Amino acid sequence: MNILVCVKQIIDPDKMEYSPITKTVKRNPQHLLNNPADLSALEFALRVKDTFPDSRVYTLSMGALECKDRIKEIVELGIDEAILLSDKRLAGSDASATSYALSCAIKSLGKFNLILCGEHSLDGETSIVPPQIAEYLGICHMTSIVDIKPKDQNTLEVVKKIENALVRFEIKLPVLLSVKKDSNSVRFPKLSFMIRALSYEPKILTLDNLKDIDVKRIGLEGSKTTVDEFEEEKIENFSCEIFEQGNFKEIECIVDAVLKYI
Amino acid sequence: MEYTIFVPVIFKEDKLQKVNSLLSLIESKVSKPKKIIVVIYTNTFLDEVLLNQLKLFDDCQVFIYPNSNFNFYEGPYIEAVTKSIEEFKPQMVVALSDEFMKSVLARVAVRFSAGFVVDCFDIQFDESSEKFIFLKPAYGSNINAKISVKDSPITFVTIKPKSGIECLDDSQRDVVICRRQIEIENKADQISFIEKIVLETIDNKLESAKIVIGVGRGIKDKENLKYAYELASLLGGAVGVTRPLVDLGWADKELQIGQSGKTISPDIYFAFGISGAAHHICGIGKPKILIAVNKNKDAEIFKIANYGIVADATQTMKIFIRVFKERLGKC
Repeated sequence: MNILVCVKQIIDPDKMEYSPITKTVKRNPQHLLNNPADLSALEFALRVKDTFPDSRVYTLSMGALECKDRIKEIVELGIDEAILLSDKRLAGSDASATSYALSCAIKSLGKFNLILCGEHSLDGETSIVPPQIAEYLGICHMTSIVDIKPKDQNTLEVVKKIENALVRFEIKLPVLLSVKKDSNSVRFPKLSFMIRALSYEPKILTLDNLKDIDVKRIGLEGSKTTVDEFEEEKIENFSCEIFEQGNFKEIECIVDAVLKYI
Repeated sequence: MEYTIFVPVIFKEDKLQKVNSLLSLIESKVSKPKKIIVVIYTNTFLDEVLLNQLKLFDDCQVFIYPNSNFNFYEGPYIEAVTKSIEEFKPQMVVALSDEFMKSVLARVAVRFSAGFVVDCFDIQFDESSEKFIFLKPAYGSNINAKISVKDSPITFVTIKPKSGIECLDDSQRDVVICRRQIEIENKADQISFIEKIVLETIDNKLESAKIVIGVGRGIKDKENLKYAYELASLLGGAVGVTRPLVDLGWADKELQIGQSGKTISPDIYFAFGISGAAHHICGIGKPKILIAVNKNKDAEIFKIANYGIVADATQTMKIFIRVFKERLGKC
């Protein structure tokens, strides 16, 4: 079985700095991290490989060359090969342009029985990239997956979360699944994999390596949605009376105010 | 020429009222001459009682497409929405945001090479460029991104409201509702449904609750959540949490209030141990009374609270419970 996991290196949302003066976000490569939902997807891929040891697990990332450091962390988990699609012409791609670029890369890499993605990325959070990749590749997909169990080399049993219910399906490969964050615990790296990761270099792909990619459909030019500008929202300033210590009397007054309202 | 807006609705044993706020938003923000086509995809029969929940406008048309293949898998809906777009030829496709709908519309958008604005909370029309501008929260702060769409004959949009949208009108209009037939290919050979398990969650009804007890990291321990539930139960309200509590595993994501969680619209909101980070605040709507309790007197939450108490969140919850119990005559 050939399994591909899309893993995005994102800027740590807690460390993002927005400057209202320049209206841009400061992107420091030191604050890159592997998107947590993608790591959950990768863990499921590795579990399939545990069950069928002949399977091969590949990861695909798209971004600047600085992503390589975070990709090494993925290699430590025990994947077979990591691929990084990196090309300046991809800069400014919106979700749809990204889906198109990734699907071209996937087509160039070969045929995969199973493709896994994280459902949301902590930056952006649109969640439309995985279904769009599936559409470009012409395969079935399902989102909001919280469990994957392989039954045999051609069949999986999956659990999908919808509102407050779990729905179980049996699915025949090939399929693309997008996995919810925290649906499993990502394993600890094995020592032999960590040693391998020290000297491992991910395979770098540029747009020139991809067959049949239409460059007019990627980057800023190919994006159909654009951010025109940012604006700050003014929060109305209430004058709130602040009580120190939570005096009993004060709480009684608040309770009375609330009860009057109910 | 009339601007045609297609509103796909996936009905799953819930209420049709959810559509009303979306229709109100479209009606108020799109002032040009238009046609709003609401299409409901369902696997059950929708009777008059259910259909009467819809608050429609003069420019609305409603179609119902029943099919037994509509269930928990995206596939049949993707086919159906594609067929509807080919039939109605809209310039805009607008739907309420949820994971399932986004998953369906994402693929359909590719089929029509369309731009897709995901999870915006407002639509504006720019007179000078004659284009729609979509507002979306950015970077978890009180900063909004203004997004426009180019090179796209159809614009796909999902709306995730920041707070409750006021429904415009109460009166029933005379809108024709057509029931139609639709053929969907059944891919049962590839995707087979096995079973549905309903999760045992406390019946919270967070999104419709008028009183919400919000709980954040200030409660210090997972055990202390029980006080929030007790207070909520006393007042007939619901409990919600901030993102850190979900990340810590203290509560299910279903209880998360905020940008990447639920949007609520209570009249009364208690914020216990919540700092008031923008990505949480954008989910709490505009409560009439906001009571904030935080150990830090400089916490952002006090900027928007009506009543503020600087104290330990858990201890204060316990006092509130005691006082409410006395006032309400319960023991």
